[in-house]
Amino acid sequence: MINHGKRLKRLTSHFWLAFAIIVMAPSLLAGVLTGELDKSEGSLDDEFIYTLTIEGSYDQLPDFPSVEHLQVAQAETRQSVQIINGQMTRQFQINYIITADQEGDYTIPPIVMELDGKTQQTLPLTFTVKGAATANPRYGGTEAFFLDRHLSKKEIYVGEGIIVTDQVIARERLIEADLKRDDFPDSFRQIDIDEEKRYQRIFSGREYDVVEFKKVLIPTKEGTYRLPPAVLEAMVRSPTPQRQRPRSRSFFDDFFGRTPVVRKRARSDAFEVVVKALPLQGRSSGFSGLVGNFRIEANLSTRNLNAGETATLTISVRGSGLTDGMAEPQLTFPDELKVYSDKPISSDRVGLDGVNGERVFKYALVPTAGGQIDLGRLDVQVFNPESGQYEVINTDLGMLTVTGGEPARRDAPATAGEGQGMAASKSDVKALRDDIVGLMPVDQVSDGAALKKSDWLVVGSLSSFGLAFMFLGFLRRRQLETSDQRAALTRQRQAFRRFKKELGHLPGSDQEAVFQLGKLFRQFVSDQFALDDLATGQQALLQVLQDRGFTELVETCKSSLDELDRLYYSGCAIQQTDVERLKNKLEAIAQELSK
Amino acid sequence: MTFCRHFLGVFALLVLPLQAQAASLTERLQEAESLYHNGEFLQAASLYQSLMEEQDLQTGPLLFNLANSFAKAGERGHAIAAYLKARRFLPRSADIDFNLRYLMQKNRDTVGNSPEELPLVKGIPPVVALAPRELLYASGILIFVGGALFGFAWYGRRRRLQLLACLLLLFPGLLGFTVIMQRDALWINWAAVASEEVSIYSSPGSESGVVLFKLHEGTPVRFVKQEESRILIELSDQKRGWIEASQLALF
Repeated sequence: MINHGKRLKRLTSHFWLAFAIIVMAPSLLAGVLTGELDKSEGSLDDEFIYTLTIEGSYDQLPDFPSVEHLQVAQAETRQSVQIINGQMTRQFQINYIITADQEGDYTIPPIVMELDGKTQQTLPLTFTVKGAATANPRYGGTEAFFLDRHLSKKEIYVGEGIIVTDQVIARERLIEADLKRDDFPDSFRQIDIDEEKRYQRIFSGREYDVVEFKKVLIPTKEGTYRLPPAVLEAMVRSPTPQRQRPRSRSFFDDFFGRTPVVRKRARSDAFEVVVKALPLQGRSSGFSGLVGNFRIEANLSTRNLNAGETATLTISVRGSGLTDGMAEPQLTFPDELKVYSDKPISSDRVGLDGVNGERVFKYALVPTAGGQIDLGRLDVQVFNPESGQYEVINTDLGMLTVTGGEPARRDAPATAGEGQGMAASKSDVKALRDDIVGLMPVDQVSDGAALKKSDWLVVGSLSSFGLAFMFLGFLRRRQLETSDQRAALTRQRQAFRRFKKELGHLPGSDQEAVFQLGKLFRQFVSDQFALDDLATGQQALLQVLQDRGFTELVETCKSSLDELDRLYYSGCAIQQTDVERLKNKLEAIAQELSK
Repeated sequence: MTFCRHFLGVFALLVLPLQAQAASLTERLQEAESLYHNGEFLQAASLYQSLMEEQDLQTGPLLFNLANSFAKAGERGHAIAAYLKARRFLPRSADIDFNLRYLMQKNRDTVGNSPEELPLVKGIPPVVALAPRELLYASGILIFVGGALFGFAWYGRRRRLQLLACLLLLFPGLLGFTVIMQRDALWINWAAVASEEVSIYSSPGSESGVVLFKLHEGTPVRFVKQEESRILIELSDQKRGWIEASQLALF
């Protein structure tokens, strides 16, 4: 009884142990998630590497949390399997490269993910980013390369160009250099200057190669904007001293200068730019939209011409600034001229000194009357950002001396873009009221309507019928094909039986019997191999057997058919035994073929 | 007998309102016509417009009559815009073409000043263009004939030839259907300047816009889009700009 109680106690304790193992097992098997940073302090030029290590099974990888002023890029992933004390663990590592826009203290929040069915998270990590300005060689820096940025102005007007100069200053050759300098706000039009400048400069007693890139930014909207820094990434030779290089490096590596390289990053300063709206004061309704320093000139292709001939007036506006948004000049031509305007052409060139624009307007002038025609003068209002004021630039358009034609009738002046100076007031149209084709009759008014539901219904039905025809035709064909195939298969199955049955009904031993025997055999071959036509000729029949792989029967069949022919065409009396022999022979062949 | 009486009663209930509606439409059209012939063109135009709105009826002849009323009233911009819209339903109408040319001669701007420069559909000359209704019926007939040919092609001796012919019919038929479904995007929406002289601005906002150029009454322009009170237009020489919506006639 005591033994029984002890056994019961032991059993109970085993049960609890097993229960504990079962309950605890999932938590013992739960995955592990860790995150670590390669350093806790660095400069704006540095890259921080965050390594996320995942152990366990998961459905989806987590997203890296976004932190203001931090740029994150996934660099590489690594997968490894470890066996420790017979236990196999799978590890998955993701490296993220983090760079900062601004100096300051940053915290990467915990990364959360489901591992082995449980929620795991990393610890928050904090790091400090310090400024990088002291690295510039002008301020005594010693890095292999630097990036410097200058702006021609920090306070500009809408439409005014600003030149951004980026200098890459390096004392070593840069490999796989990647310069990012296009990340400007959307409110700026960017125009690259293709020419780049190269020269040498001495900073702190060291010689540096300088490559200068320029770009023009044109703001389209007023406001205060932050221009983010340019960033240069490149490979440079490692600063590792010779004696510290690994021993495994060969003599050839050193001889041919195969020095290890490392990836480095440099950034310029960020700038704040104030974009001012063009002032309303002094702005006329005819403001051309030009911002910059411009001049204007006009040329006439000829000044003396006959009435009906053409003179071309060319107006060029050129200067420092963009011209592609310029309004058409407000020209007032005398009434005795027909004016045809061309599409204006802008050619804005960007050089090292900024934007130089030119816009050309061309007008074909055809005088309709003789005499002196004064084209007058053209005033164009532009905004000069240097003075901060509107200015009027002007040019004299010249005078035409026209010979021939009727003297001019002075009427209201025409404006640019007109074809004919003909008066076109409402009263003129009224006066000519009977010259247009009259009304359409009332009963036609509902014709030529927009699409109605009934139209869609009719056409939809028509198309449906067409498509139904297509479908039914296709279906019927399939059906017929199937029935043809089925009939052929039945014929094939019953071919030998029918052949045998027909043999039994053959007439005695005359020529007719021989003829019928040959015909029956040919019918059998046709049915057996589902031929469209009866296998008529002997050659064709033998070819069928050859094609279907009955090569060994071809000779036997040939000799039997030859014998049939001989009997039929010999004209002698046919013996019953011969017919019977041939019947048996052909039956045996048919039996073989039906197998 | 009772059934017949009931049937006739239902028929009358269904048909009579339609007949009454048609009669009322005819009366109002006749009224507009008499206003036109009495020289009250603006009233005639207003009646035609109200008919279009109330009856949701936009037909080529109705737009033509509306355009004529505007033309006689001296509203050249509105008239040209209505003729341009009528052309969509009656693309090969010689009357529309004649009246349009006649009014366009009076335009002061030279740009887009002939019907040839104003295609109904991009890249297709107006002479060969089909009205949406014509295109719809043509597509339906092509699909019907193509489908029937395809159905019978399985029985004929020249099966390949028949299949080829049916494909040649089905393809343009289906293409026509696609064009009809996309007609709003494909057909060009022509409008015309309604005021004597208008400024065309560089932007839709009333504060920042610079006057790019000026246009005069009757100049046909393509409607591109509307933002607030301004409409983006394009001339036939691809010049673009914004015009005040109130200064544009568009049907």
